[in-house]
Amino acid sequence: MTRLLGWVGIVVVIIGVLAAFGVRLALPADRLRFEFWADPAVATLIVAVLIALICLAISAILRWRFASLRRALTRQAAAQEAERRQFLQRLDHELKNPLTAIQVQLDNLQAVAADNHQAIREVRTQADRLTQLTRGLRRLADLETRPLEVERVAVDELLDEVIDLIQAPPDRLQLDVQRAPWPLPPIQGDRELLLMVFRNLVDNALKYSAAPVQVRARELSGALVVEVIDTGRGIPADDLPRVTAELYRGANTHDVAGSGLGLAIVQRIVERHGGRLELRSRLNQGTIATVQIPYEH
Amino acid sequence: MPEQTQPDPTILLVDDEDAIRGGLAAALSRARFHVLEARNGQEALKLVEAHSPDVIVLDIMMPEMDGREVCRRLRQGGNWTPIVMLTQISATGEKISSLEEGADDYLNKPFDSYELIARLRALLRRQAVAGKPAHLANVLVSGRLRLERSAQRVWLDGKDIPLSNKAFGVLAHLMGRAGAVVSREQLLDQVWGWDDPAGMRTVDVRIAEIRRKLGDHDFIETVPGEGYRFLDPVKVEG
Repeated sequence: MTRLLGWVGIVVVIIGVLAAFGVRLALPADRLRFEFWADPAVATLIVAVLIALICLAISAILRWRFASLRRALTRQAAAQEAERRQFLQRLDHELKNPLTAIQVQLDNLQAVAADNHQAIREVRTQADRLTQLTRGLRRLADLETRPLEVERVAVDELLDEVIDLIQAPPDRLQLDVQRAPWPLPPIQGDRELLLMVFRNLVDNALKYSAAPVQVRARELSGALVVEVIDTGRGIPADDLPRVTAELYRGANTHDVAGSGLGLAIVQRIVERHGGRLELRSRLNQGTIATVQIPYEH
Repeated sequence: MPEQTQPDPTILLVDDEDAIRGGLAAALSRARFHVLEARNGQEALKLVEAHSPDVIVLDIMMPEMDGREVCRRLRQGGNWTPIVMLTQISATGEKISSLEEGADDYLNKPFDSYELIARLRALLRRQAVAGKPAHLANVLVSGRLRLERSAQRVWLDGKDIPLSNKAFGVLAHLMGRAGAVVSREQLLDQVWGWDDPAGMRTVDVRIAEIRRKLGDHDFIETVPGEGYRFLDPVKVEG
């Protein structure tokens, strides 16, 4: 809009100059005597310059207003983000003491109630779910403040470790790490956090897919690219942009246990390594989670 | 009945939340502990003075005087009763600061009573030593190796050895318990502090780093199927 006004100003000046020439040429010869104020060409030019100046002034004012509005919006977004994080932290904090009391009193109840009382078991299961949630929230909060411990990380070894940790049957996971023409170079990163990234992604893929999951690692345009590919239920298109938000879970995941924090944690860790997480998915066909981390960051 | 004559170990439980303190007191009594309870730091210090408990469970966030301050005062006064700190925040920094203040162990809320009882038994099994125990000492020396906890630095033959934070933590933990076998699980729990362990291999990676950086010196022994042990005797300095 403001740019348009600027251009309008310039065009008006050009048209004004041309019009002034036109007026001079169109005038009869007897009027060629030069009288500055009475000259219609000069008047046309003055009007054109005035219109142009007004356009430029409006353009400058609008530009200034937009910039300050944008700054205010950015500030507001940052404040909201900080507030949201603080809220999650407070939530974790406020859940901890009651949950400890519940866990401890459940132990006491179990000591006096009949062995393996169904109700106690059920309450314990639910308390454990809440405990997992508080742990996830705390981990997310930790990620904001914890300094990265950067070192040289051999990606193939790290992925082997993920497979070891997950203990998936060998026919459920296919690992394909670049070996030729040169082996995948090691990356500079926080080993344990990167382990958590790939562990979460592979865990997710296995959770939502019955078919084998592929993990591919490549070096591509100066970045480490790891893809975790499943042929599972996929993420609905409406959910796709939001699944990395804290506590958000896809509409088709409610039958599977989860805290809604895994992908948020993955994204935060990848961002802290200067990289990005990309999710592509088709409903009932599968999902590709791609982690890209630049080698130089 | 005076507590000293009790055959069961005496525990001082300090937490301002009645539901937690009451619940834990019942669970600990069942586990044959003699339980003393305090609601805040001031009460805790008085009870320590009067009853000399065998072990203390200390919440951090409390009114009047918080857990850290209690721990600091006890240690400054030369009292080395084992302390389990109940941390509120699991950030590694929080854990490190509780250990620096002289807690022997820490536990994240929420936890269940069995977890706490297991920790307490482990602490009580440790042989009592006169004065500051090695795992709380700032400077540990074993032959040519010197480790300074507060500076987080290690020297071999006077030469500074750069170690990653985790490798340093593992070495400090093992040196503080020289001669004892420490399992990978214990190391993960005490050095990493994440509720969801990163995996046993993570520990092996740090042990490999320590061995690589300390050269061919066999400071740490692998005890197959059990864990790791720091071999040589360790002297405490400061």
